[in-house]
Amino acid sequence: MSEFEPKIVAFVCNWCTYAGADLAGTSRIKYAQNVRIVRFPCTGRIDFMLLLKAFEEGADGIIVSGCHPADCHYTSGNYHARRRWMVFKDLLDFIGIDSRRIVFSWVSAAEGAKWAHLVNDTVSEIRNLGPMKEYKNLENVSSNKIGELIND
Amino acid sequence: MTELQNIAKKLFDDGSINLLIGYSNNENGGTSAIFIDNSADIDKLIYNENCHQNLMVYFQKPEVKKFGKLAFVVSLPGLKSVLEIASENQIKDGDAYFIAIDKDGNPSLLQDFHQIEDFITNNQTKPPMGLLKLMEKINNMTREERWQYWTDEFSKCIKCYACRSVCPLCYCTQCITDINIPQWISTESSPIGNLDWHIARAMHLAGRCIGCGECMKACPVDIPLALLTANLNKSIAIHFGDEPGMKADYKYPLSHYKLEDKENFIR
Amino acid sequence: MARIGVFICHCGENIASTVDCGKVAEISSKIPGVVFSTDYKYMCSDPGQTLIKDAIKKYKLTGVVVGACSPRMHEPTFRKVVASEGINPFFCEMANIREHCSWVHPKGEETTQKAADTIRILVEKVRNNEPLYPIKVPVTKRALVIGGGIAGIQASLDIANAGNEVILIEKEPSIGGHMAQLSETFPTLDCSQCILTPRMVEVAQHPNITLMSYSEVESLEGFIGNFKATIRKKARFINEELCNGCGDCTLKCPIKKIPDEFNAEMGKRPAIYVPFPQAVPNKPVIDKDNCTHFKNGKCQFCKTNCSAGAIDFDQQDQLITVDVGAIVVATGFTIKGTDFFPEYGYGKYKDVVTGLQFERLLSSSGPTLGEVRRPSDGKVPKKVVFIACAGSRDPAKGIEYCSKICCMYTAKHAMLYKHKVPDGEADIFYMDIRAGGKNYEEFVRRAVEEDDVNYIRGRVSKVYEKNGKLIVRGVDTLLNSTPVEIEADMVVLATASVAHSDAESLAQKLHISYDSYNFFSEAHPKLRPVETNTAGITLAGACQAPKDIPESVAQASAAASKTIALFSQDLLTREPIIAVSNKSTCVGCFLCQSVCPYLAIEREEIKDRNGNIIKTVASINSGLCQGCGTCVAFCRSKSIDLQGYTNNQVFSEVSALFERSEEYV
Repeated sequence: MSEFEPKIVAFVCNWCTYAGADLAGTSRIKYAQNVRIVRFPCTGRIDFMLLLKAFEEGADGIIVSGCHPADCHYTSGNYHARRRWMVFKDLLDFIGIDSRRIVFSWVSAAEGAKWAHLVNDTVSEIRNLGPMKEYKNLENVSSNKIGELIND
Repeated sequence: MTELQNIAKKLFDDGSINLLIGYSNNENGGTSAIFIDNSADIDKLIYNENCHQNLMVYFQKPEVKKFGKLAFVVSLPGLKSVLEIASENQIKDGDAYFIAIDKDGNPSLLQDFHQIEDFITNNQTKPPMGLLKLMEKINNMTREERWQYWTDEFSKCIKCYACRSVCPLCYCTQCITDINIPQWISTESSPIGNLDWHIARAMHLAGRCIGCGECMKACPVDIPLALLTANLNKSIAIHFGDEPGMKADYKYPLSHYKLEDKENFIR
Repeated sequence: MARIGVFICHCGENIASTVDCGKVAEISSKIPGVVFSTDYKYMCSDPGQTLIKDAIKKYKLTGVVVGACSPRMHEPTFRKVVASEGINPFFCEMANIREHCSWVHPKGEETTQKAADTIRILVEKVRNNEPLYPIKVPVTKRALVIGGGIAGIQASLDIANAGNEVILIEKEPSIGGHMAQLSETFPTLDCSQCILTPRMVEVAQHPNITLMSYSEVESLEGFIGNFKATIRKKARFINEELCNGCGDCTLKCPIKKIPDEFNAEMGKRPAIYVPFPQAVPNKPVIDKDNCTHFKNGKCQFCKTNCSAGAIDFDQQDQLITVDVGAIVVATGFTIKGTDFFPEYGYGKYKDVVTGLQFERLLSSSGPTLGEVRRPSDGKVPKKVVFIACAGSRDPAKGIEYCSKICCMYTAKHAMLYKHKVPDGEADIFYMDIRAGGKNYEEFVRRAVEEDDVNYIRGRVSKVYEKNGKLIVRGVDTLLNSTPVEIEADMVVLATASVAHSDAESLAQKLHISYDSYNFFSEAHPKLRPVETNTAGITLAGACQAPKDIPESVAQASAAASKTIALFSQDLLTREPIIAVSNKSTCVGCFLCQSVCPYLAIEREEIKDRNGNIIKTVASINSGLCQGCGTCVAFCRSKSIDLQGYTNNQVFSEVSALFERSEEYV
């Protein structure tokens, strides 16, 4: 059986991490193919609902990455994102969703190599965690419980 | 006539209010909200330990607003929601009178936010032990157990949105779950749709929930919903030191930041 | 119903060597709504663009996805193509299958699949795009030039000569920068001051240029065409209006032994000083840290001797806010000091100096009036060893890049030394000689052939003092790594050129990108080498990377031309990537208001027919909004959306993430 290949989505900001990934390209730094990139203007734009949606679509891991503190193209989007993710991570932990599946990082436009490492590290960490089976199992939970309740 | 009724009557008599929202006994032996628009009905006004509903939920209803001058019978959670919605630009100082019931059950008339802030500081109560215990129990579970616990709980949800209806902070005229372009949250009562709804609800109330627990009391299938927001508020207090419902000029922690905010979880 | 065309570019071999472009086109053709899909060798070329235009006509396309390089590269190109066929340009999206795919993954099925997935994600975005129209904003036709070295001077003059106002700020007391410190310049050996100082005077006298010396950027707000810069004009304790530049004060100052910055600390200056005789403005400044008056209040010599009454000990820093439409950053560079090199004595040997210090010793306006005399005892050195690449190209020192100017100035130093000390001997240790430039190679040949400069290919491992001599120990790699030991009277290190220590904080104030060495980043290394990623801010000179004078001047003129082009329009066209609010669903909680860094969220009162306020809602000022979208993610009721990245668009992208393309087969 072939090794589990995790599906990773990266939500990145246009100015730092997207450009950093571009730099990884121009520098021909090789990294794992598992990642699909969605571009946002700023980490501040990234709605937590999109992370849920990504899991729902079958993502095994999510990278959220933007500009380092003080480097935000829009001054402060990354600071707001930082608070949002701190709270969101705590909620996922409380609900029992493995928050290690969401990797937050600051990757600047100059950090092509950091981007490549980030993807590779995430892929290997998620590979060790295995598939995100919680969400997949949810589809099988079906509405049995609900049915039972109504029949009561 | 009780002291509460006296205060209410005086408000009507001197023309200060057109509508008072308080509690009365209902035919099921419990208590319900009562909407009093003339002093003749004042004798129905009561307050006892069964009067828990957070009446501030009615404040933003157009049917209530049209009366103009309002008064509410409120205990601690209700007053906290006043300050919270004040910080969210929904109520201004002087928009309504509040007949505040203190921890001994005695009424007093409050009008400005400073009085409310002082009242809250002087009447703090501890959150119910049962809730704290359950929260601790869940926090002590393994991640898998927590997931199982909440999956089981959420699977009961029938998407009746009672939790939303009773929440004084769910005053949006368009809720995320009612939007279909895009369909953020599946409308049917499905496991994923339920999970999305409860996560979205908790996130939208994080740092705003004042802990009245109405959502949990209203839930017909007994999902311990208040735990989600209580736990989030706990982490917000730890991370940022903020607590909602204490000040009218409260700064919502998720729309403010500090340069030195913790980021040990970011690579 | 959307009719989308997909165009896969091979980029020659750049994409096609690892991605099966034909297959990607074929897979894409099966996505619902895609009515045409093809691949082509160079989509950005003229025939490639024609191919897209023809397909738009033939298949009546309503949207286009180009799978090619980064949108940061060619998005404007393809949007123009689409617009030329009458489609709203925002119905064109680029899928980055080069930088994010073909260049970083090996040839194979997985890489092709990733490319196909990337296309599908963008097809879903295009499907949900909406027509957007550029926003017109007024332009303030005044430029701010930061840094008064040769690059800043050139940029200021060019912009001002085109009829625009310029505010030139310089953090030192005088403009001139490093060029003012140089003795002669390569490869012509003409006197640096002689060509520079007339330019400095021109700046001072130009009616369109406001010169603010001894000033720094405090903060910057706004956006292209409409910046608001706050400038800190540091107190120089001189009333510039009254001062006539006679210089009496500097002569009377009892403190005289402060290391002189202009002379790279090879000379001394008083506490009240003019950095150099040709300074512009020719007004002194009091060095507060070293002035007796500021230390204990006991001295007033300068004040009592100033016939103009211009000394003002009570002067304070001033914060001045200016409106500008464009900014040229020309803050230059600095060099590593000798103390950076433990192997060369950590700066403790007086006769081990940097290139810039040697420059001052060569300069006729320098502390030795142009005679080469070594710092320790003032003797004329008979043997000088020059060490090129001191720090540069040295990963162990954390500086991997080439400092670019050192090969040439070291040749110049050796030559000038030989001209001044004809019986002296000049040895240069070097790694490679990089003399790419007009007449540069010839210049180096002249040093070797006409001036007998001795080039030794190899590195120096150690310099130490012994019996009043500096022992330079190295190897000659052209002679089988033979150890070489030279007894020198003086050693000159061509130390690495580096970014200023405050470059990072300036970049953060200006919101421009910078690289890992804190040099400022250009928008594109080849095609946009002058602009930064922040519209309206351009770069000139060595703040971007080490550069010589002609390059700095050329880039300064380029930055000026970008600025002038911007100022040639009365209204500026801005991308309509901004937030919009839905006033019918907004409940006016205004939790979004505090997240907006541009104060673009305003309160709008909605009134009924009788003029009664029904509610107060958020309204976005489209002139101020920069489109970060932070408010959008905050809004619980989704009453704010971001054009170009709408909720529906990004949601659709995420929904399309992992559909395997076989599903369409």
